Formats: sequence, C-alpha cells, structure tokens
Amino acid sequence: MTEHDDLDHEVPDLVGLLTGEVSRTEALALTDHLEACRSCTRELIDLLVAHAALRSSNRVSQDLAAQPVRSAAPENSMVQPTSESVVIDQEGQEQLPPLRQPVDSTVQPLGQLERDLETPWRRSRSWRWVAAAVLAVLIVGGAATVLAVHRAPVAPLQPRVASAALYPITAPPNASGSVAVSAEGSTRSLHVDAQHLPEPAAQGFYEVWLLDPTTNKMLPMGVLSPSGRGEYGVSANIMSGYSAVDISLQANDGNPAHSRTSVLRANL
Amino acid sequence: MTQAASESIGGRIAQADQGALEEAYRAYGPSVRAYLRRFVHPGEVDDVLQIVFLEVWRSRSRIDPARPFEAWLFGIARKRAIDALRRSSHDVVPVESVRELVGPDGEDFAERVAWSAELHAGLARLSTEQKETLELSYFAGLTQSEIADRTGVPIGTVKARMARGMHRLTAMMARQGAPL
Repeated sequence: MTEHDDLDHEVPDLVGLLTGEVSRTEALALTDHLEACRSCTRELIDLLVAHAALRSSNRVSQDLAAQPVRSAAPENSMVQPTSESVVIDQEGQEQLPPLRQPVDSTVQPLGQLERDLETPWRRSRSWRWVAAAVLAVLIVGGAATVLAVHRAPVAPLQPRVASAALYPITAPPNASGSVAVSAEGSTRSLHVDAQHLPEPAAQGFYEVWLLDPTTNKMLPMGVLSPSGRGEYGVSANIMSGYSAVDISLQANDGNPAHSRTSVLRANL
Repeated sequence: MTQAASESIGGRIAQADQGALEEAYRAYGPSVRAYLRRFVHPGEVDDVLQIVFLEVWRSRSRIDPARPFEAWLFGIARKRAIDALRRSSHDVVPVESVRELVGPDGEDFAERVAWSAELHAGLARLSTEQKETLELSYFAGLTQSEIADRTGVPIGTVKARMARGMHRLTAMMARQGAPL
C-alpha cells in the first residue's frame, strides 16, 4: 500500500476502533489503512488524548464513587452518612455549600466585626477629643439643662452582629434553618432556628456547638429544643474564636463529646 | 476549559479577583468535594473543602499561570485531606486510605482526579449534543447503536458528534500541553 497524506477518502470509524465497536476484520483493515495513511494516523492520535482522558476520568469517577476509604465512623454514630446526603439541585448538579469569603475580602469575619462594634470610640480618637471639648464648653457655659436635653445617648451596639443559613451535612436535603448572633454589651446570644430536622431516635438528641473549622475546635452550647429553636449565651471574647455553628446528633449515653455526626452547619 | 480560561482563573486569583475564586469553586468544587469525600470523615468534608479554597486564596501569590491550576488545586486538597486523616488518628484508619493519599500513589491519584476535573470542565464547553454523546459512551457504557436509539439520531450522527467532541477536547488539552 502506498503512503498518502491527503484525506481523499471517507474517514474510517476510528472512534469505533477506540471504543471497541468494530469487528476483528474491520480492526485489521483499519490497521493496514493506518500504516499507509498519515491523515488518518494523525486523526487517530488526536482522538487518543481525548479517549485516554475520558477513560481515565471514568475510572476516577468509579474510584470516587466506591466505598470511601476514610477513617471509620465512630461506633456511637446513629446516622451513617453516605453519598445520599449529597444535595442535588434541579439540574442534577451537586449543590455546594456557599463559598466562605476569604478573610481579606470586603466581607468582614465575625471576629473583626465584633471588635469594631465593641470599640467604636477607639476607632476615632479625634472624635473622642471633639466630644470632650464640646462637653467642656457646655459645662463652662453653665448650660447644664441644655446638656441634659441634648446629650446624645450612647449609641447602642448593633443588636445583630452576624447571621447565616443552616445547610445540611448529613440531615435530609430539606433540613434548613438559620442562626443569628446578637450583642448586648460583652454578651453574645446565639439564636438557632432549625427546621425539618427528623425526630431523633428515642435515646438521641440534637446539640448546638460553636466550631472553628480551621482547627476543629468545638464548644458545646447546649441541647437543641425539640422545637428546633434555642438561644445560647456566651461572652464576646469566646465567641470571637469561632466562625461556624454546628448541630450534631448525639446519643444520650453520658458521653459529652461531639458524636462526629453533624447534621446541620452554618458559616458565620 | 481552554488554556486561556484556565490561566485566566489562576491568573485572576493571583491578582486577588474574588470572582475568579468563586468561578473556580463552582467549576472544581464538586470534584474536590468528591475527592475529599473519599478520605475525609463526612462531617468534615465541607469544612475541609472550604479550607482548601481558603488556602487557594491565601496562597494565590504562589500560583504559576504557566502550570495547570487544577493540579495545584488538587495538591492542596490532598495535603488538607492528609491533615484531616491525621486528626482522625483515634479512629481506625484503613491502610488503603493511607496508600491512596500519602506518597507516590497519593500524588498519582490526586493528579488523575485533577485531570478528570479538567476533562469535565472541557466537556462543559462542548455542545450539549457532543457532551451527551460522549458521556453516554464513556460514562454510561452505551454503544454507538444504543446511543443512536436513545437519542433518536442516525448512528452516523453519533459517530460524528463523538469524533468532533473528542477533537475539541484534545485541542483544549494539546493547545497548552497541560490543562483544559
């Protein structure tokens, strides 16, 4: 067979050759043809890369879909999370939790936000001096009554310093809710409103935790009421060390540790 | 995804463009999550996922646009998965998890997952018909005849769609010798 380079013939079924959908006779004939036809050889090489990528990807997908090889779940887990807990949207795509904003973004993390709210005077020392000067003038002027009338009340701290939606970890996809943090002086109140959580087993209950996802440090806040709502108090200093709220499913077995079965979570 | 687009994501993240980070999260987040789910306890997967992308952002000055962003991303994911595995030392850790995560085997697996993520990003850029045909063939295991029956188009059209789609995928990869 003479070697040729022009594609002056119908392109043979090279994809069928790659996917194993040609007969033995066709495969041998294609081999003969490829030995002589540079165009088809280049065509096959072009297809080979994509073929390899597709095959490799399929194998990877099977590996990832296989039984996870991660560490075994603790024995006291009452819910064995599986891939069924993955939330799928209407287009069949897996729903990701919202991307947490980077610390140096325009969105302030809770800790920074709290510090700003707690120290409004420190942020503007000049404003403090102006206020002191005005006060002195008023006193010197004997305008005590005017002062009493016009003295501006101390601006209260913004009552709500953070809020976020709860999203399911191992809870059913329709489980949801919200958390909010409000401030009163140096006290922070965590308000939790969880919805559509299934009723735990007879010896189970839900517990609310503060979580630092970076270190996995957790602080128990208390048992979540069967109503799904609860309010928990904590100092601002402690609160500033956490950036997420976690709700776990616990066994009533006297073990105070987190069961490692998180059902809902919110990133503040 | 073309090289230009891929470089653009890495390059834009390097330039502190948060939109690019969110774009990367949408494009590669599901693949990273699937990879982490293989090794990390379910209750920690989404936290580790967030940590991975947070590290992408914080380490953006180290992004080399000339190199595949996906491989760099999955390198970070692998390291954070190892961290999570170490934290789980009080649990029983199967030896397979260590082998698939740590050492040359772990690097190889992460690279394969990264390549797969690149491929899926490339598939998303094909026409709906080409993407569907290739997915039915390579992921659902259908023959060309079965695809023709399923989609109601002549088998010649199935062959043409597959060939064109594969050429485009190859072109996306070959153009830069690295990422899609």
